[in-house]
This record gives sequence, structure tokens and C-alpha cells, in this order.
Amino acid sequence: MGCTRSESAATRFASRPRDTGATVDMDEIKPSLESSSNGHSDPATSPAPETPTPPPPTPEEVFREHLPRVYRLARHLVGNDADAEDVVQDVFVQLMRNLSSFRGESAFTTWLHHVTVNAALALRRKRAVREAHRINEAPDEYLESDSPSTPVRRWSEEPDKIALNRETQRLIEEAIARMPQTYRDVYVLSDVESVPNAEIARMLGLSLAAVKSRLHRARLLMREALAPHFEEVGT
Amino acid sequence: MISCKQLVDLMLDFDDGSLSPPMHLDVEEHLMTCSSCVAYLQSYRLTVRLARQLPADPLPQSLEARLQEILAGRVPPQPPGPAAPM
Repeated sequence: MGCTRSESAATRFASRPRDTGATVDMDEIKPSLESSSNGHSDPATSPAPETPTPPPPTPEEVFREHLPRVYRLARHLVGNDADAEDVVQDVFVQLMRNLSSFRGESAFTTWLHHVTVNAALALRRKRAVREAHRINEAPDEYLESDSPSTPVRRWSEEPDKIALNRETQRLIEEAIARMPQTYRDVYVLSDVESVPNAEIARMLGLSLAAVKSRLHRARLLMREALAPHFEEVGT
Repeated sequence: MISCKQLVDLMLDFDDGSLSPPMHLDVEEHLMTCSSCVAYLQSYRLTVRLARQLPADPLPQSLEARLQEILAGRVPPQPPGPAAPM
């Protein structure tokens, strides 16, 4: 078991300059709803805003603000630039046909995510890219060894102080590309695009429990990929 | 008391507030005495935070030019894909 209990835990925390107490600070471990906003903050179930609904985006806004995100999502879902461009074009055509009918940013972005996912999945089927079932082998076994069965190395910087830089971005992109497809779909929609889990379940035809299970496993894979980069050496 | 492995399995539910109150307390109790799991949870949360900061990719110039042509009606779009639910 990985527990380093009582005095040992206290020593490890107290030995660090920013550690102030002999016990774990509860503020450190309280649920971080901000960091996991996909749990219960589904905009689809939130009360309707009282402010007037904004007009639909202009074509210029679509190009500047929305299509780059569509392209990013498409690239992650289909796995290559050429197919992603086809998806973006498909989405763009549908978008231009329906643009005037949108009222409200939330409805628009939700629709855009749906259209992009549908177009990407259709293209994947068309290309007969069916690596999704790779997931059925090994992940559980892999993750079995991922729990802190030995004391976890602290990361070299305080987690709150670590920011995304070019190198970290590269590591994350590479880890996403290595993920089994079915984990990657859920992970990208949730943690990159911030789509609520319930919405992801609707998009992918999964149960909410399946979405959360895949998301958790994908996060563990991502953590595993980043750990060597951030862990303290020699601890 | 729950094990470290059980705690890892519960991290997502712990963070999104969907654990039952007794289970939530079990996780908190474990974390109060296990620095390894605290470090693990912090790094787990960090990966979530970093992924949400990924910037969007700029559109390739050739793609943007093609879309502008479609917008201007100068070229017909390719056959659209399946319609999405509105």
C-alpha cells in the first residue's frame, strides 16, 4: 500500500518550504469543482439566462473564434490533418446553412460540438478506421499498476504553479495521440473542449457511467505521460 | 479505511461531487493520512487543468482560403455530411 502515514507523511510535507503543517492541509484535497466542471455543471440543465439572447455569430466570428476549435477537435478525433480539414469543411457548410437560426452562445457551441463529432465519426467510419477496440485489451491491467502502490514522487513544482508551456503542450498532444481511440474521444471532448459529461454521453451514445470511466482512465494515462516530466529527481 | 487503489478509482467522482457523503468522508480521511495519495490527486488535477489550457490550432491557410471561397459562393461545397440534431 502506498500510504505514508502519520509522522512520515507529516515529515514529507513539513520538509518542503511551502508545506506549513504536520498534517495534510484539507484545502489541498477538497474537491476541486473548478477543475472538474464536467460533473454537475451541465449548462444544458442550468436555468435559462435572463439576459437577452445574443445574436448568432457573424461569419467573421465563426472564422476567428469557432473554426480553430472545430479544427482542433476534428484533428484529435480523426487523427490527421487532411481528414480534419475535410471535417472542418463539412461542419462549415452545415454551419453556414444554419447560422441565422441560432440564438445564444450555449446552443451554438453545443450544436457545433455535435456537428463536429458527427462529421468526424462519419469520416472515421468511411475510412474504416476502427482502432477503437484497441481499448478492450490491456488498459485495466495497465492502470492496475498506476495506483500509488509505492510512495508517489512529488512533482518538482507546486502543481498550482505549473502552467502550460510549449513543452508541456507537446507532451499533452503526444499523449492524446497515443491514447486508445475510445479514451481519446471522451478525453478530448471533456478535458480539452470542456463539454459536459452528460453531453458527451449523448454525442457518443454512451451511458454517463461509461463516459466517466473512460475519462478517468484517460486522465490516468495523461498523468502517467506527464509524470516523468514533472517528478522530482531522486525523491 | 479505503485503500490507495480504491482512492484512485474514486478521484473523478470525488472531484465532481458525485460520491455519497459516507464515501466522500472515507476519501477525505484517507487523504488526511496519506501523502502519496495527496500528491497523486494533485498531479491528477494538474493534468486536467493543463489540458484545458491547450490553445486552438490556427486553420491552415489553404483550408481557410477554401472556406472563404465557399462563403463567397465562388465554389460549391462538397456534399455535406450527416446532419446533426439541432
